[in-house]
Amino acid sequence: MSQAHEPVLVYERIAANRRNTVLFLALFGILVALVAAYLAMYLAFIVFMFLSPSAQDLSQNQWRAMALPLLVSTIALLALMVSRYRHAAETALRFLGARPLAREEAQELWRTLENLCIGAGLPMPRLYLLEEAAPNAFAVGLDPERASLAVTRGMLALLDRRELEGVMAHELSHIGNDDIQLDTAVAVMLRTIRLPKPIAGMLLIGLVVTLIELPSLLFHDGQGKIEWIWLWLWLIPLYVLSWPLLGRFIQRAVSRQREFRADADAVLLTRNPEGLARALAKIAAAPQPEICKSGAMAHLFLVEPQQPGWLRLGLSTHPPVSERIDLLARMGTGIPPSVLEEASRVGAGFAYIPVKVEILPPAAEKAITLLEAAIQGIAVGVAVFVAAFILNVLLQAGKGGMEQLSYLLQWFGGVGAAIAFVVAAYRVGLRGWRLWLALGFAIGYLPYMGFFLLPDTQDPMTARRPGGDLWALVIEFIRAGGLILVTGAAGAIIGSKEFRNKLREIIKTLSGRSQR
Amino acid sequence: MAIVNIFLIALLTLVALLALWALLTYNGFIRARLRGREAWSAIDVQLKRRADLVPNLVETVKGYAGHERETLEGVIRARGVLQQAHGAAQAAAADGLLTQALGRLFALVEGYPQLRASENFIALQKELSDVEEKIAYARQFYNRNVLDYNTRIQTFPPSLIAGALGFEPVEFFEAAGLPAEVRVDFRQGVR
Repeated sequence: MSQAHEPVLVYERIAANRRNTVLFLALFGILVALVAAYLAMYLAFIVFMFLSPSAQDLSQNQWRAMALPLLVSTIALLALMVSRYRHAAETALRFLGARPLAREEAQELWRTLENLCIGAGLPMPRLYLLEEAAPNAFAVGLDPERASLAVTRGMLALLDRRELEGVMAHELSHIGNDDIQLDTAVAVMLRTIRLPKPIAGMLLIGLVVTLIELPSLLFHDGQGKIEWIWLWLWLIPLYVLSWPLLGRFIQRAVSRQREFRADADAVLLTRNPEGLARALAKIAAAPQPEICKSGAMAHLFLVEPQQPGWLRLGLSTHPPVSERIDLLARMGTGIPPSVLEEASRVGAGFAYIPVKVEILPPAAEKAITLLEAAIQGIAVGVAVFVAAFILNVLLQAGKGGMEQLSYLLQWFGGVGAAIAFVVAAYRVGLRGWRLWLALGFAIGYLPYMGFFLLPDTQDPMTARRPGGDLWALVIEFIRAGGLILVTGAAGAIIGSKEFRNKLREIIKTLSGRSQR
Repeated sequence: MAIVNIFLIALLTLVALLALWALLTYNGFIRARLRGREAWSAIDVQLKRRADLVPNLVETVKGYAGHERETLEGVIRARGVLQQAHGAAQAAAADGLLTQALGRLFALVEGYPQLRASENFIALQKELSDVEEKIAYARQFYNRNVLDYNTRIQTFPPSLIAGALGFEPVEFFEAAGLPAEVRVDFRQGVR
């Protein structure tokens, strides 16, 4: 392999990666700031409407009313992003369930990694182990000094020394090129903006139903003038729902080219493409149970991990493995195809120890006590309430023209959303008390939109009460939102094991007494 | 008047740009040289480690095959040469010598099954092969850095700056006269 044409050391690439990280974070900040600001402004607008004595006053002061929440939300968002970024590596590792790997557990791996680090002139990254059956590996960290490298148990079982060396070299190349800085930032930020499926289901139904409303939405004042500003209400949730897709685009753009380069650098390091090529062939042929709990982390891995649900249909974050193997086979003196075929055979026959893969989000610990269930319910309830709030805004927005039909559609939309919420919760895999929690939320949501049916209820948005007091507004919110929280918590409690056990005991005691 | 002004400004700008380029190039040299030095210390550490293993190895072998004095002394002598080597090329040559001497020693060990099976010997063997692998990687890294540095100071036009400020090419960790990749490895069979 001639070294003359390649920049021998990759400082140019590192500089490019650092630039890209800054760009990405800035772009991300802007993207999310839009929504955060919208929410904050909207809430402030409502408050302001209640407090202002007349409509005249309102139009003059509305920008002032919006400025403060905009500023506050931007600062809060920036603070959140900075803190997220600084803990990005630990967050990613914890989320994926990696634990530190001691030297005694994998002597050969440690030694191989040590030697490779000497060859690359990098400090030794911290080694982690993922108790997963699917063979894969990834690297995270903000810079080479603070990098971490994880392998799965499946990989340790499947690959021999030379192949492990190739894989380690690949990951080290990512570390050395500062690829991991951008990758880690992307992973953590994307996870931040990912809506839980039930809430996304809710918003989606609301959007679909109000699509019919769109024309009347635009002619809000009924005066024949298109009010583009109201389109904002509809676009924001749509935009929020498209984040996963947007995230995939970003991931794809970021990682494809760099996988090839990491492969090439790995060969430069090990002076032999065969190890990595064989490893890739084996891993590609091996059956891949689901490994990646979140699509946001997919681009960190060595090969594309299997992901839950609909994300499989989406864009891949890695170039196809066959292409990578082809490139490797053409390096140096070439690799005989029989070697690769043999590796594929071994990979296909890899009998993996089925590992129970936890598909619930790891933040949701197994709460078995009543108190824990209730607290969890309330905490999640706040998020649900915000989503319900947005949804309601959508459903009320189209008020021009056919009012009866409009109300009916909105009611169906609301009910549909509640049902979608529960169905989505079930499909995501929530069971037991969590599913009951979701059911509780859905039930609590229905009365919240009850003012569509009952003539006397007032909704915060359109019931402008000049000179109304703040208390009325607060009570309004508590009534609507509080109901959701209470029913949610009740659902969680009813569904929790402890409650059921206690219930059984009570029933036993009662039936025992009645028999005597 | 105006033309002279423009000319003057243009000239000054050109000089400023040249000075900037010279500065950046110089800094590039310094950084590359420092990287090379750091890479050398990595090799040095491993060479020392290897040299430290030799006495222990010699003692162990003496316990079973004490009469093979020629081979044992060859190893000790090679170690001595390595410890006295100055600079990368000499060190590489000495390293090659030591490798050859050790190769002869291990070939010898084949004939002493008791020695081969002894725990002490096996442990030493493992450590030795680990050190040699580390030396190989460290050499790779070092040579890459040296190549970078030498290329920088020898390509034109940076070579003008290098020449003016006294930057000399650095030696590779490669023994002249000895093929760089010769590694007589009899140990494959012993495992």
